[in-house]
Amino acid sequence: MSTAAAHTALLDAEPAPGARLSSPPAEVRLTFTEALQPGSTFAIFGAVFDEIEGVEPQVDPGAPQQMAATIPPLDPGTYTVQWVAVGDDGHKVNGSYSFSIKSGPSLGNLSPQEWFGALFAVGFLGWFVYRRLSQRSA
Amino acid sequence: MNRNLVFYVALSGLLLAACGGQPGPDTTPTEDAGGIQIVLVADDFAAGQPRVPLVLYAGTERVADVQRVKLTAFDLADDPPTPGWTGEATNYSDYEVPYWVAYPDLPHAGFWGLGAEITLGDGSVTQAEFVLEAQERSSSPAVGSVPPASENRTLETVPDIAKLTSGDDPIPALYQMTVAEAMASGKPTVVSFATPAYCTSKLCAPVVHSVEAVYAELGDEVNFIHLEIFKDFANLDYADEVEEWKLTSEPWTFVLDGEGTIVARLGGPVSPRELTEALTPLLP
Repeated sequence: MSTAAAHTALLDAEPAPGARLSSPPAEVRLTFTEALQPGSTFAIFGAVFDEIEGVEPQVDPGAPQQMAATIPPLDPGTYTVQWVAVGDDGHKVNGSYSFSIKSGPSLGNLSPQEWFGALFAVGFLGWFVYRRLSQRSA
Repeated sequence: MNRNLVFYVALSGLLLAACGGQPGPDTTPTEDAGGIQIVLVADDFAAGQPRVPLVLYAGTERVADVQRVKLTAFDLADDPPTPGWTGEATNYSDYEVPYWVAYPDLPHAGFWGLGAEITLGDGSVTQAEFVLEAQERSSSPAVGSVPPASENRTLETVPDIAKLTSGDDPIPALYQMTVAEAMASGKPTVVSFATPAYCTSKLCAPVVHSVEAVYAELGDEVNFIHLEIFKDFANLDYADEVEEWKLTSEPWTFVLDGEGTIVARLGGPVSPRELTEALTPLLP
């Protein structure tokens, strides 16, 4: 039986809970309030609890309150990190949080400034080419 | 018009577009989208309608202002997972760490995803998910079963109350009866396994206080028994009853009817209100 002196709690996470990332993270790293014991682990789920394969968390031997795993490239979307932390007292705590990855840049994602700049440049280039062609034909 | 001028203006436009765009890939969070953590504060779930207590955190701080938690259970044995039971969790704020409890309908053993739709105090809605495993049978006694008729230590056999509980101001009435005696009494019984001194978390330490609070209201109609987790505080040896009841964690609070059958098994935090709700149907 696992007894409790104090429950292990998640102190820090990268990506952070609720983070909206511009690009996929290379790893997930979780830091807890106590050194982690065997049995501590986490999994990552995508849409509709689809578990991401290839995630193998390891407790950092130099920082036993941390565990981390490199993760395969993730598509844009929302992901849940579900963790189990076993503390010095053997007590197991389960928790979860989510982060999301935004879609990459596209025409639909351009800001008004970007649109203005692009149209301005295209407009003048077009005018320039037209003038050159007009002069050649004259 | 000077062609060079046209060229430089066009170049400037291109540079403006480039510089006004995104600075390139980076992993810095650009916005915090809710960031709620769900922590399950019990274990030993079995198929059926297990009690699932959870606490919501933002970082290391409990999320206090939550209006509603709606859950949907997804059967992860299906591909893709199919949604099943949907229901709302009940909030218990009369506890040192307010918590939520749901009783999802999990028809079979296996892994279940629970999607949570959380309505915050300002009306905004955020989503969270967690996975739990429902066993075929719970390790500790299940609802509907008759637990071991433990012959636990009481003040009759161990007059020094400091050896019966790690609590610093215990109520002697909780150490008068054995479980066997209580089950034979014909009255409902609360059996609470907890260790006030050795579980210092705000989640588990107050459980005995909840039991004491309800004892103050219902002590004439219900038997109340606190079983300390350890029989030896020096070596932290488990009490015999802990192994007899096959507990996988603590605290655990069981409510028995007048015939000694378990009608509620409450792992983790239990507030006075929740305990009273479990007892009310058993009262005359």
